[in-house]
Amino acid sequence: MSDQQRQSIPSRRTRFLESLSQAIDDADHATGRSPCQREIAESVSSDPEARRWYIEAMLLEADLAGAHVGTGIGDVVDLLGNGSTVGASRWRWSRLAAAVLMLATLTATVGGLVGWQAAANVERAASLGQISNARLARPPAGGNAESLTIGRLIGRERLVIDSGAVEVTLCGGGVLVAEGPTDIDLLTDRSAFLRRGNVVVRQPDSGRTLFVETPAAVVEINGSECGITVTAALTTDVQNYSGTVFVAPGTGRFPLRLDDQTAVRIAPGDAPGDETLAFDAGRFLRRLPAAPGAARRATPGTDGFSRSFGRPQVGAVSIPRTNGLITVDGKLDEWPGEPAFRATRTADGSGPDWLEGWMLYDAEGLYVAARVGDPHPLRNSVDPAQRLGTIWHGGALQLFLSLDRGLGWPAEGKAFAYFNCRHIKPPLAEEVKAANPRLLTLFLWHHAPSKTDRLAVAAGLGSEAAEVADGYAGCFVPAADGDGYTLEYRIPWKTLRAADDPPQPGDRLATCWELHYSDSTGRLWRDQIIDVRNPDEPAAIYPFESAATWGRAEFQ
Amino acid sequence: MRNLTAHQPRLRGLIRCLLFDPGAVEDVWQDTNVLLIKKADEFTPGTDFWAWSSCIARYQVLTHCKKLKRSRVLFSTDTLEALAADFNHVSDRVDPRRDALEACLALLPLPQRQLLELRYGPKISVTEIADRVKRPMGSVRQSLYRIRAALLACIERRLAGEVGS
Repeated sequence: MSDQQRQSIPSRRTRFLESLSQAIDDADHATGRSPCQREIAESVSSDPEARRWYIEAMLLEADLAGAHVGTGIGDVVDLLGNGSTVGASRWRWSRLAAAVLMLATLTATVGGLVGWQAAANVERAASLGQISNARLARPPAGGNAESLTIGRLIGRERLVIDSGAVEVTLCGGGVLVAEGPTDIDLLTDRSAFLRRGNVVVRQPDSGRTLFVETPAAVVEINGSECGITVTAALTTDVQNYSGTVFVAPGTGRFPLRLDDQTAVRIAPGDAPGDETLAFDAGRFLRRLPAAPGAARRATPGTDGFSRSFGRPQVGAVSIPRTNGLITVDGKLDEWPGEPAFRATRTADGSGPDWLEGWMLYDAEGLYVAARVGDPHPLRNSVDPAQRLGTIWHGGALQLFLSLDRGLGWPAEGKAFAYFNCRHIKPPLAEEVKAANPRLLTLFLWHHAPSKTDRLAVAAGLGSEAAEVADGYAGCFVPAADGDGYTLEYRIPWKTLRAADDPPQPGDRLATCWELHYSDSTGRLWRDQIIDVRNPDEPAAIYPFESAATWGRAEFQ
Repeated sequence: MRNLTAHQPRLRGLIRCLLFDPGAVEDVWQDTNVLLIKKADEFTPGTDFWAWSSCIARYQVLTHCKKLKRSRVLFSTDTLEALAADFNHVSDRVDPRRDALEACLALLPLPQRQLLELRYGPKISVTEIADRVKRPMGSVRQSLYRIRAALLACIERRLAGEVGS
């Protein structure tokens, strides 16, 4: 090769790259080919060397679209003014870059809220990973059922998982399992900011560390698997399943090394009181079952619609008065032979999911009984201490009940969720109605880890306010064939906040039954039966959203 | 799924090379992934995942190009095939290039990183950037060209073993 040829190669490449750079910038708004683009097309089609340059440059484009390189525009003005070049004072800039990164980490860690807001404004860029599995109980708030479907590529964005769980496989090799309710920002393919909720993170031993920041700490995962929880009090719980995890508390406290099978709670800010937690293998959901979740679509007549809103057949339930001689033992010997209603999950009644329900009452309280067909009975292992409001994910009877005798039927009141899902600001009058303490949501479930039969009651619409109840008697008994169970409860009026004015014969109040099924894990919602529903209300409203959807409760 | 995840940067790079229009890249990439997941049963473990997945990606690109007006398609089918073939020769260097880029970006002066952030973060056009920073469009174009060229040079130096470049 002659000297002249040697010199011509860089200049030819330079010219090519200059044209390509311009053609790339033209591509954003061009409706046809620009002159630069035509030039590039000709070179690439005829010149193998140009093809190589083109491929290298376009790989850079693809990678830049996935990289994040700073924020703000203030200094850009200076740059365009002085035309500085790459490589100048590189060590100085390298140190500055490191300082900027450290500052960003500290801001996100110590400042928490500040970091959240910055992250929330981040727009979606190139993909950092992909939703590799999802089991959603309900469509995400706002009705965007597509946003968490399997196969969707995830960019630099915020993931809000109301219920169920989502597994994201990151391009950096890590896997993240987020169990709702969880709110997390994916920042890069190796970093995320957990605002609240639970995630389990697995990062292979690839030499590249995955960082999860929380309001209280930065967790470094490499060749390990750990679960992280951010609670409402902004504490951070970290439990290490395998390998070694480093946890850096936010305010200059010494980083902790967490060996496998250990757990720790980090207090936010400079509050003292980091504490060792007992390792609990069931604290987090680590794996999602292989079966994919279904996309949720609220189109009447479709299976997805039925899955969301059920196929209610009964508009009213008769509640006879009893003499009070009922033994709560799960046998239902003293109950009427015929149930007050029967319901099935499928339209033709086939399938293993079915429900027979009874309700009775006396001067002391309410009696509830059910026979349930369930192929995965009594497996609820959701931790009620952490997630009482979403205990139904693991399978439970959610019973809506209006004991407001003045309100009668249909009951009135719309939960905050009703307005939130429809992007409406709730009027003050509606907020007052929703706070009515005689509009109750009851959860009846068998807690598998402790083998106890539980009750939680939320007064006012919305299950977020649920509290563990006392004074009741409850019993779950598995069916002999293993494909279901019987439940029987006696719940005093006092527990239901109605001791001063209990229902009387002839009262027409409101109730609705929502029986939740979990899958075999006992943590992930699978399906539901909704019945005893007001047929005059539009079908696409959940019973937890509006008390008007509840059916008639006829006290005999 | 692990294979698919590991090959994401390569697939994205291939599609970006074949589809000059950046707006279409995300859609085609996503369609490709959905198709790969659907056809996962057709892949024989132990065989070349890249050969299989890149073939599907190329098919998706061709399908996309067929939908476009002729004036919007930059490359002929023959050129696309030639590009895809050439891409195969460099596909195993995609990940090292990405790592090198990460290091090169850290060396980039702050104003240049900020300009890249504007261009590639919220994907603002050059015209809009020029409006925002009140500079001529040509000046913005030139700066972007210089940054791209410098990053390419930096990546090459690092891949050649001249660490610290």
